[in-house]
Amino acid sequence: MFNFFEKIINYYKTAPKHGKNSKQNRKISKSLNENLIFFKKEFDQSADLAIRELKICNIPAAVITVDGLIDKNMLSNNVLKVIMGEEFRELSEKDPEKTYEYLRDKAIAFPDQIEITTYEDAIILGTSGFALLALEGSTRMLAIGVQGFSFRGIAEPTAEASQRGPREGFVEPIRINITMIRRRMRNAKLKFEMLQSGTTSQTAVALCYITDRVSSEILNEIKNRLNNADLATITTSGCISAYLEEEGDLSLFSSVGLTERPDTVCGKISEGRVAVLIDGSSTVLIVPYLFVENFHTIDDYSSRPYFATLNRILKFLAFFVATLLPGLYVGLGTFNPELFPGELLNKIALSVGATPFSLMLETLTIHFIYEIMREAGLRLPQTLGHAVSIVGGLVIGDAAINSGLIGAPTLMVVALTAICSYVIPTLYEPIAILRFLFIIFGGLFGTWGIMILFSAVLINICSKSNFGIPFLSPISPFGAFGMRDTFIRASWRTLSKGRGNIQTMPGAETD
Amino acid sequence: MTQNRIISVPQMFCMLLISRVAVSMTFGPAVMRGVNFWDCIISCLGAYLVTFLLIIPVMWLCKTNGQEIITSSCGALGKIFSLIYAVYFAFVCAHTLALFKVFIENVMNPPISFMLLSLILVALTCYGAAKGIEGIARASSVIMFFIVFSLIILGFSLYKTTDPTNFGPFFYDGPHSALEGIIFFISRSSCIPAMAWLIPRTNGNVKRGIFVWNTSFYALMAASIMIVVGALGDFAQTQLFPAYSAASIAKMGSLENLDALYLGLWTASIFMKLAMFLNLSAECIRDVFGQKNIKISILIMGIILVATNATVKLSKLSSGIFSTNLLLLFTAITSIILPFLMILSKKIRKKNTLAKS
Repeated sequence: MFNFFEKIINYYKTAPKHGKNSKQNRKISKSLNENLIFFKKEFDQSADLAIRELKICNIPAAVITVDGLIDKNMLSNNVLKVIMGEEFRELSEKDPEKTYEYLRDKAIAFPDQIEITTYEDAIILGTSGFALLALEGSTRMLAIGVQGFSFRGIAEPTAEASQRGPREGFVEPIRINITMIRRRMRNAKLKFEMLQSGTTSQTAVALCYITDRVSSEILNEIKNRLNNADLATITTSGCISAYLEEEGDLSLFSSVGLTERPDTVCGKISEGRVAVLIDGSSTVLIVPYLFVENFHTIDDYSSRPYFATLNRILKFLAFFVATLLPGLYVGLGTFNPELFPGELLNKIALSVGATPFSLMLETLTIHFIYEIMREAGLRLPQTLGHAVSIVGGLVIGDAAINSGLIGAPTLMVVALTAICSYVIPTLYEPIAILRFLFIIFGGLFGTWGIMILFSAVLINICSKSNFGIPFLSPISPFGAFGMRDTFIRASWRTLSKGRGNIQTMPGAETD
Repeated sequence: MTQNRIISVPQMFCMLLISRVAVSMTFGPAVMRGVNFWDCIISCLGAYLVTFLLIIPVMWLCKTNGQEIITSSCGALGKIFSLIYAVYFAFVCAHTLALFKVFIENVMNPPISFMLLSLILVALTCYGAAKGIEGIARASSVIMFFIVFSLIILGFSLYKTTDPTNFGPFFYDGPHSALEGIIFFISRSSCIPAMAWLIPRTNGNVKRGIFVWNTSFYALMAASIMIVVGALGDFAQTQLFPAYSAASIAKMGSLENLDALYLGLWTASIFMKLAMFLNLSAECIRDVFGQKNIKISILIMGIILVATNATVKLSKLSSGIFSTNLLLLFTAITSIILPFLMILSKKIRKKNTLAKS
């Protein structure tokens, strides 16, 4: 038995790690033929690999592209027409290196032009939409930026809608997202640092930060974690997000922020945070991220401080209601019904007496049904999703009460909880899990169970920190300065006084 | 061996205040060998002053040791001292859990198995303890906020039911009750030995913290006694847990029976206290055996705690694990005798080293 576990542990310890394979740097050959064979072999004659062979000053040459990633008009008008034109026919230069230099410096006028000497760079740039110009006798290739592919247009992010804020949301191509941030931050200190992650997908990842605001310790740690990420393919931001959490952190709450809004990213990086942009994902990661930031929305900063403060308080209350209400309802209803006011107690007692299940089982069942309907509504096409909502909400809900399977107060509690959990969408996942746990603890151990679990969750949140910043800061460790944008939202005149960098948060162990 | 200063003085004293509140909420004539409850206000004043005197050895020890673990300068003897502290902290945990058991089984009597509840409580406190003192301290300061808020609500709701005729003269039965009360409060001062292990890991002005902590605790106790006696009168004398009985008659608007609030607070306080003392106990064991991983020590302590709780018979509330004399002896050893021995040991070692050089 122990041997079996030992074998499993050893397997994971000795398993080859995707992210740690050494990167080979194979030099480009002088022979064009050899180079073309290399590409054909690497791409295994893939349908989207396009090689156009031609002659420049009688020197055999080739333009290598990946179909679908380039703008064909731009390539033919601005590159092919130039190098195949009259000027080149008359050029008497026969030396391939000198011809290459002439092409690079005089003939092809592209702002995005990169000289490459290794096959690895050639593959990365080729698959990023560059056209690769190779010449017989030259050990260099010219990567010309003729990228052009269709992508989803810029639109308002549905998950982070705003009433008064901008309507722009990130899209999938990383370059467009970089532009959206740069357009809002016309500051030379804003830096984008490109990395590559995923040994198979070679996904472009960009770190975005303001050089004079960011903590060098945090930045180095982020780079370190990304470089050590044991990933083969990056399909979503979630793949990288896991590697930005503290190692061995099993908390339900995430200390990596997610946003689809460029204005949010600009606000966060101006506080010393680092944004991680991933090619192919419209969600940008923000680190370090605090628990209280889940309760902030972009509209808080557009509204007057009084209304924004009211909204903040409502969100905190909604969080507690969404997490604790069903558990408290079950716990008090089962063990301390005398705590309910008389009239309410009568109604609950009548409804519990008329249903065949215990309060805990009843609440758990409705929550399960609700979660199933939510999941079904999310995955189905919108039109069918509405139908599911109607069937779930009216048919099942109404029929279940009328048939006496569940009580109306229980359904009311579940409905209120469901609505409250959508007030803080970023915390939906932990809330959903905690809600089930609180119902079970409330049903089995009453108020004691709820408080014991609450204390354990509290310690879990309080002990959590990422990049040396306590997750619950500035609540605990307490910081009066940070409180101006926690439970209340102070006026802009107050907020603009002093620099509220993330590394100055109370309890931060970084400079 | 030095430790990182990872918690602030307010955090440490929030943690210690909560752990005292957890036990003090349960005190009453039955636990205090039948003393006059009203005289306990005088006991608070006396215990308040005595506590300052009791802290002196620990403060002196921490001052001489700086950031080092208190037992580190005593060589092999230090290991024995650490073991005594580990046993004391484990004993405090067992005592707290036993109080919880008495409360659940005698007052609430719910249709649940206490064994299962204590198992869950210990398992989750072990988790809390394993998360480290930093997490416990931060969580305690959040719980502290809720405690203060709830006590204000309870205080205001009970204020209306207070009858001034319930306040009799002090020393009606002589000074015996007040003295018994002082001994009772001092015997439950497990925070003083805990301070010896916490101060080296704390940042800030400890002296001011001690003053605020001690003053606020005894002020809170005096206020609670006044409200409970004012609300319950002689009835408080017959109650096992008078504070709970007072909370159960509290009303606020349409909200009745505010004892749920009391239960919630008390359970959270017990959780924090158990987590803190389990962590400290495991730290002491680590110091003895030089383990790298504290989690194993916590797990062992947790198992011992559950086993002890299952076997201990709670026949009388003023004997056995609840005996004031036993607790007083244990507290005196860990708060006064051991710190003095450690200071002495350090001085002798220093003298010997100087003589050799």
